[in-house]
Amino acid sequence: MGSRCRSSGRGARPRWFARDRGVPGVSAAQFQAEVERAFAVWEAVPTASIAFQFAGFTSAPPFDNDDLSVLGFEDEPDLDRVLGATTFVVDAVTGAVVESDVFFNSVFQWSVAPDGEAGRFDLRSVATHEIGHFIGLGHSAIGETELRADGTRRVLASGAVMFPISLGRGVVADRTLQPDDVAGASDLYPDGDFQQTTGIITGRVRLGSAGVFGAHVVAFSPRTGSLIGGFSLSQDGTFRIAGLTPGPHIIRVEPLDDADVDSFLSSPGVNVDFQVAFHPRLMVAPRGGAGPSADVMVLAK
Amino acid sequence: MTLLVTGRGHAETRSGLCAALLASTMLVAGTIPAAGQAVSEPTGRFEVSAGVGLLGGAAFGGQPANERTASGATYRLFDSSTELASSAGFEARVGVVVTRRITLEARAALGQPELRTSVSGDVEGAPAITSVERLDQYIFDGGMTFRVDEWRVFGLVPFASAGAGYLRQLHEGQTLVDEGHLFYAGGGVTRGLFARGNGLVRGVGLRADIRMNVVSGGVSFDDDSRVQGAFSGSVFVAF
Repeated sequence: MGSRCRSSGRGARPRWFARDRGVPGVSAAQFQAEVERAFAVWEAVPTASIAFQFAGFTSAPPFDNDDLSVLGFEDEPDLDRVLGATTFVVDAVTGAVVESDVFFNSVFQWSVAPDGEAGRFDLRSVATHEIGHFIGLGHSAIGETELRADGTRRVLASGAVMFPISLGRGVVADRTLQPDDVAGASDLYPDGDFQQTTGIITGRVRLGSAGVFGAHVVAFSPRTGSLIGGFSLSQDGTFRIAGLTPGPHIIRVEPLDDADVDSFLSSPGVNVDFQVAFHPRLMVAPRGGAGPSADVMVLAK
Repeated sequence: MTLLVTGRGHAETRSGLCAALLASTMLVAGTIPAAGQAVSEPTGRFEVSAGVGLLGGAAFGGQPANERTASGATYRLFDSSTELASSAGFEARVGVVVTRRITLEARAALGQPELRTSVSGDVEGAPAITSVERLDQYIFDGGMTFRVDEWRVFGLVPFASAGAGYLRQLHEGQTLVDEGHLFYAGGGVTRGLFARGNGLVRGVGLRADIRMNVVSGGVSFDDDSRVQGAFSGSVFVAF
């Protein structure tokens, strides 16, 4: 579900540039400071080795193919539902990410107020989400939404910064990572004894005898209350959830129906026509590996 | 003891244990002689016993699966509540008779309790369910018993016991171990069935124990100690 950012040498930190352009309410310097704080949130994950370096301001806009990773405001009036987005330039030979740009849509009103500001989107919260993509994470599906009459979705709640839909204007909750975010970052950039002290649950989601592709599988720890998710990423319905606290977990499977399916998976054929279900066995995440596989049966809607 | 090997046949194992426990209890009742017909208590230097027992469960409480809302409130995805179920098991004990009243003992107890998490109130309507796993549980403890012969009634000799031990619980699939320790205090009665003053085997009797275990660690959702009752019945041989 992710790829590591390339560093230019052993121990080097990937460099990023801030665009030297502000928007009403946010100067370029304030933008840089808030984004720096958002990077620091990911760098502070104790079980992951993530470090970045601010390289300076640039007039280059995001999304230029210039080998510079640029974060900045950009006018994208056509993307009237998109707060921000992250793109990658990938080395076709090595697969390494050589450039990653993040744009923040200046058609929206932004805030850098310490406690948020009514009517404006919190820049640091959105930056924390986009930097999650910057380091290689995809979207999390731990969240609940409801459809509005106009076809858009309203977020009822989310359990991950990497949920694809914002909690809304004036909300600063996404400045703080959730267990699903921490597990994802730590799985991509494990530090210290992360892999030896956490566990993995694997399994398969089945509808009858067929595997279910694209099911959202969540491991819930009744000990800690953490929710950590994954997806069944193959036609046979197999899934893998890493970064779990050792111990028993409840396995819950649901269809990807709380946001557009392509927010999570780009491959066609995602099955959303089944009912939410729990696995009847407590699945144990062992310390430093994977336990027995869970075979989760679901029923058609 | 081989009944507790994991795999199929758990139901049969439980039935067998219950039957054995019942038989043991009935045996005690059936061999109580009339008052004044007391059988001499078996006495020797060592005692060995084996039997079956029941270890009480423990509630680990509830844990909601919460998400965050825009207002900062929590949004409950579902509720969960977890307990360690009571379980039957086998035990074996060896003792060294120090004085007429005092015996030092070591005991090994095996059981397979279930860890059960009940899930309910799913916000998307998933049916409530209880997810379970079966643990392999080993208790190794040591302590002292103190006989109170003066309080003998109908041939039953009461005793008090206390000690400490080690708890080892293997999760299903045997890929994760939780360890802990326990202290116990309790008591029970013994009833001699046969006794003699010489020979290798000095006597045979029945024994019933009741205990309160104060358990720390093991499969637990917090750092608090918990109290678990236990009952067992066994046959002992004195040498």
